Amino acid sequence: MEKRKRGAIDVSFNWIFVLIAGAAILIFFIVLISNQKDSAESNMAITIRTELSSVFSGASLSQDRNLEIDLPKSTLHFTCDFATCTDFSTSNNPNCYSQYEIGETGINEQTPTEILFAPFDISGQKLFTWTLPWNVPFFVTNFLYISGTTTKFIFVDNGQSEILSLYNKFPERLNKELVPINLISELQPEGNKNFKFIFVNNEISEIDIPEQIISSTESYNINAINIKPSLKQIDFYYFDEEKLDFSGSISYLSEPEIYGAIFSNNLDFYNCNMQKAYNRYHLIARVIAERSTYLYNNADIECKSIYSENINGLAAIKSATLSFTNQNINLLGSSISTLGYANQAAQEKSCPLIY
Amino acid sequence: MSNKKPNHHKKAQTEILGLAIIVVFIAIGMLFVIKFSLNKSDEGPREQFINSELASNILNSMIDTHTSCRNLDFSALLKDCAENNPGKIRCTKSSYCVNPNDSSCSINNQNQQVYSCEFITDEINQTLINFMSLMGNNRNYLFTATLAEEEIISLANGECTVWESAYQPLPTYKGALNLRFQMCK
Amino acid sequence: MKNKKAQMKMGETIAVLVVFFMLLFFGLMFYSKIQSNQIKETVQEIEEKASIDVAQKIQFLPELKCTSADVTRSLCIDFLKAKSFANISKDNTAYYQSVFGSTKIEYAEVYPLLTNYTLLYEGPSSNNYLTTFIPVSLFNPIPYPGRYKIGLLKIKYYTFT
Repeated sequence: MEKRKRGAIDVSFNWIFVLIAGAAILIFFIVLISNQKDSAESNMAITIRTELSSVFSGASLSQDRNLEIDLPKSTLHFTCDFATCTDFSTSNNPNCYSQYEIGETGINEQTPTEILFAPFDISGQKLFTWTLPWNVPFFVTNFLYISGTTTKFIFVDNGQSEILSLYNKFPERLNKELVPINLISELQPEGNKNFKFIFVNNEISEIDIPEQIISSTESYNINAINIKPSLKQIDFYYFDEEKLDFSGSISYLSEPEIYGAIFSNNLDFYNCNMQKAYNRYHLIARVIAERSTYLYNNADIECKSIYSENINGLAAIKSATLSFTNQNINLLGSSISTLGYANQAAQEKSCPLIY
Repeated sequence: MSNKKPNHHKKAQTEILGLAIIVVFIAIGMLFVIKFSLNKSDEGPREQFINSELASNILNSMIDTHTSCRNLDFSALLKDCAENNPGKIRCTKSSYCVNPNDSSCSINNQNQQVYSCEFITDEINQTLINFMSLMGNNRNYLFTATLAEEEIISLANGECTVWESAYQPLPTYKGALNLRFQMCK
Repeated sequence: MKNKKAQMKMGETIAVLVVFFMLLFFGLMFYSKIQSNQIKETVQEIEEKASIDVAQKIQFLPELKCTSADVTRSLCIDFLKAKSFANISKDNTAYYQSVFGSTKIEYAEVYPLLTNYTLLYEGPSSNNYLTTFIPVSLFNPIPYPGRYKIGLLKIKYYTFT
């Protein structure tokens, strides 16, 4: 009898021991694998960030070029907060809180001075970049536009020639469509998540977004801009419940800014990037103004007048680029023309060019 | 006599088989390690970028540069040298000497009139010496200007086995003047 | 006897576990050593890529590059712009640090006269750096139509790892 009891205890103790040891080993390996998984995700995010940083840096150096980049399966989140922007009127180191983040890893790249027009989120396996030079009138920077495969750009044709011109210049690779205004209701989502409507001189209150588009995505992924070329103004709209609501308007100087508004999800994002652009503009204007002063001090008499800052418009440009406001944009318009004429005059008189 | 085969023989064989399998796995693992360490490229992306750009940028920077010879640039003087060897254009030798200890480089010779081939050879030589001294590493190089297999200009500094090369053709009425600049990797 | 046998069996099991965990430990040590070396290599690679990006940015910097209205000449620095930029960058070091990172930019004339390096911009420095040389044309617009000389840009990209 004793032997049977002892045998029974022996066997069950053995199994308990096996279970405990096995569980310990399993838990150890599960924790190890879980840590390795997190580490691998972070590694991938860091690699993507490094590669993208080089790609964006290289892409922004070449003018009028569009690229298609393969991405691993991840989402990019772009942020640019205009409320945090500082400018040269208040600081010697103006910047904006601006970054892009890889997925939910927390790995991000700060872009305090880089000018990137992009939607809030880009997912999918392809990324498109396009650059246009911003000449006002001298070259300041390239505007880098970024988009993904799930963003649709809908150019609404109401018979205005400007919309056709904007549409034709827009890269073919990007997901674009020219839609007559009376056929908006027939638009289909086609698997897209972001919808950007582009109007020229339109009455936005009369526009109805089709139900199939509204139901295919969140309301913050539907937005529109209305361009008014005669006023050189862009109106931004966001989608609220059933219609497009006005969110604000801003003046513009040249076409690259219109495309910046097309690629930005809202006015805040656009203003933030334009403030960064104006910060660059101000510094380059100062360099050219100082160069103009050197030319003035060494020029022949017939050339001297061309190089005076107050006459050729450079002083006004330096002042108006201190901060990005509608008033300053309007002031810049005439100063840019003045500088352009002055540069042309320098060429005609065989004087060194101002820029 | 017992008819049973001894169990420890079978056990020992099983043990040895197990050990042999472990050794095989370790050997395969070492093979992979050796393979990956041998496959590592000699040049990183930075070295590739620098080496591929430096030689061509040095050559390109010379082409449109103005000289003191009637304000003509390097390409104009090279063309004249190639078309009319030793050159039709006469230049005043520069006010510095390539080698101050050279007996030909006396103050009397510094305003000497020379033909374009001699002038441009000196200018290119001085430029390359200056580049190397500024970069601080005194790399070996070879510069040649060749017209239809004939070497018109040849400037060398040391020997090398692996070169980074840059080419620039200049059109002349006798054919293309091929400028070649090679730097040691 | 049975007690001793059982104890021996227990001992055997424990010995196997000890050896197993020792092997595991050494395996993990080896793996973490390899990982640590890989991380160092990755960091080095990232720094090298960043130095190339910065060199390219500086090559095409609007504050330095030669322009003629809308036409740009590549690998060319406008001498007067460089003089102006050297002054302006001193007042805006922090701003340009976010453009270039921690960098020192200098240029020297190579031809016709060899000069010492002139400082264009200097950010925070460290003992570790990567140097890139870029031969450029130096354009002086005075007197019209201007003259091209040969120059050398020296870019020191400081690393803090």
